[in-house]
Amino acid sequence: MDSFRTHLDAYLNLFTNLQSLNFRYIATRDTNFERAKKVFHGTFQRLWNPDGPSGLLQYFRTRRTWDEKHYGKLSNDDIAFINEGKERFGSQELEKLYRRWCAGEITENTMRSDSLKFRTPSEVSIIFSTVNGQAALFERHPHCAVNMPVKSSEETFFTGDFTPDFSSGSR
Amino acid sequence: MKILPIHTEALRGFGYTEEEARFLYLVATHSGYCTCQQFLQFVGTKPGKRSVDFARKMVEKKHASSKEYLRHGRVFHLFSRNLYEAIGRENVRFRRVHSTEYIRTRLIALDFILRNQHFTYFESEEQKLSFFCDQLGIDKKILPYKRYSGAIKNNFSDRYFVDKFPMYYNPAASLSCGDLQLHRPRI
Repeated sequence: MDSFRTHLDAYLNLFTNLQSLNFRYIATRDTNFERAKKVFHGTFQRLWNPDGPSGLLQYFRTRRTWDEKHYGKLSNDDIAFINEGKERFGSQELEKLYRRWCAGEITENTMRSDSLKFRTPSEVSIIFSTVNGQAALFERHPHCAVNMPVKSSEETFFTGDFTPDFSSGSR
Repeated sequence: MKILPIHTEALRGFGYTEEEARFLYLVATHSGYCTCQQFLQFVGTKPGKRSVDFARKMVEKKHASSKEYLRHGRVFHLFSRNLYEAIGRENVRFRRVHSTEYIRTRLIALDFILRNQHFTYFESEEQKLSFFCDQLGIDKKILPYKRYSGAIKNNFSDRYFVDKFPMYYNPAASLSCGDLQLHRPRI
């Protein structure tokens, strides 16, 4: 699942700029479908949770610290988070929400509930498909033994003879 | 999925039939790797002269190499620069040598495309960039990219959507809706 998480992370900023998303998970077997589903929905639940780590609330607080020029209170990670957040939470609606929250027009609770209306993508789904994928080509035939068993009494040793007589005799 | 006649004509110029040219176009655009089984699935026929002729043609013309895997099935790798150039795909990395893991992923992607030919896939990086940046108005810097450094120091180029997983836009949804079908082939 690690490569799947990496893939989702790489596309997450793009996803947040779409209104809806249908993601297809294609595999030769359905072994990982349930786990992939959990990872997929978990990613968006974390993204949409305003109180979560790297969530909207943390972005607003960190950004307000920056906008109020309290630079000493910010670490390099915070600055990186602000830049990342601008891409992720950069919609006009959220920007307005931020301005109203900074101006004290709305409380954190109102901001929290209002932000849910503007979450993007508003609809996500994951669809699973199995394909042949020519997988059999890469798997050993079930009737073909991986290692031929050899009894110790039948083991032969190299005698150092490369003559044609030796070769034909040992066939 | 629409394949422009100009592309199939270009491939037919190498001596391939119309169906073979259409199949080769899909392989060169989406995968770089294919099997005889996939060709048979595409043309909807049984193993026989057609698939043998096609395989022999690809290898004899030095457009593809073949490698036998555990079950004696062959995987063909399209590597000919001339062939990719003919359809305007001379810069794709499919021509290079890849790991078995990569080959398996490409075969899965091709299998999906062959089974779902009614979708209109984005075929190149340019098409994807045009769709996201020009049509949806999304900033280029948020798209997934990989930075490649060139031979000259401090000279690099950014390539977008390097995973080359099949991607198509669902025309049933309105453009502003951005109902995007992304595919994650998984072995």
